[in-house]
Amino acid sequence: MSNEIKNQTSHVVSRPEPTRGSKYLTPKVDIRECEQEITLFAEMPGVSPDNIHLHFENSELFLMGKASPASNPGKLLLDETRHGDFYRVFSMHESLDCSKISADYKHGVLIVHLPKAEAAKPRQIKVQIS
Amino acid sequence: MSMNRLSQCDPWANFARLQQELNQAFGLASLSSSGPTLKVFEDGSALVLEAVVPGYNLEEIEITVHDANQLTIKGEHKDVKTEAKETWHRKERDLGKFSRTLQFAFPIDSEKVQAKLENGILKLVLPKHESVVGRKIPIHTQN
Repeated sequence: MSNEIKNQTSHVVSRPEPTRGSKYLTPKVDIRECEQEITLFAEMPGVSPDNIHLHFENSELFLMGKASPASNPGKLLLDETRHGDFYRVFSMHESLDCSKISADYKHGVLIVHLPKAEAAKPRQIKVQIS
Repeated sequence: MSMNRLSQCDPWANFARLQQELNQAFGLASLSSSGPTLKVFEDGSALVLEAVVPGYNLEEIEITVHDANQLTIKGEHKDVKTEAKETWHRKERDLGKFSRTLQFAFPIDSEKVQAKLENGILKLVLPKHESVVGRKIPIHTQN
């Protein structure tokens, strides 16, 4: 995966390896682009807001969510779920205004707003008729 | 034991999950929505059920107990906002409607069911009906 093996500065060479034996899960995402911004919706159910880390560097957006310990209130009868920390990296090609990136976490979904830089926004240019 | 029957009755569930993961790996939208994944525990006199429902709020989820031992969880996204001139680069999430029904081996006390939604996980505590648990009868002493 090209987004896992990075990069010119070589401080990140592969997906970080967990030390506590749990798996990394890839959050499901929706990515929407409109005129003003790119919005990313990432599902990280079961992660408390304090354990979400969002990092933007060298046009790469890192999403990390540390899962709370799995609950175990009795005899397990059925388990379809997968437990582990969430991790995903995106390479953003568009010109973004880094200083205005914001994020909300609501009902287990991280919503990242990535506003476009002024230069990248579509602009109507009037044609002068002489 | 009916829970074990439940998990065995859909041999295609694992294939559906595999397909979802492959679609996700190749950046394709999920083709089917099979409902939330579940975890069920038995804790003495109650069952504890956790359903993974990211993105749904409490108003969008309906929980029904019917025929004393059947539980249905339904969900429907209602606040889907659309922007003018929007383009979707990825659509991996299962948004829309779902419905899942579970049948338990014993009746549930529907009056005492508790539901909590936290960080996209719906947690239900389903007390067994007193006809199963037995009812403790207080003894009054006369001194």
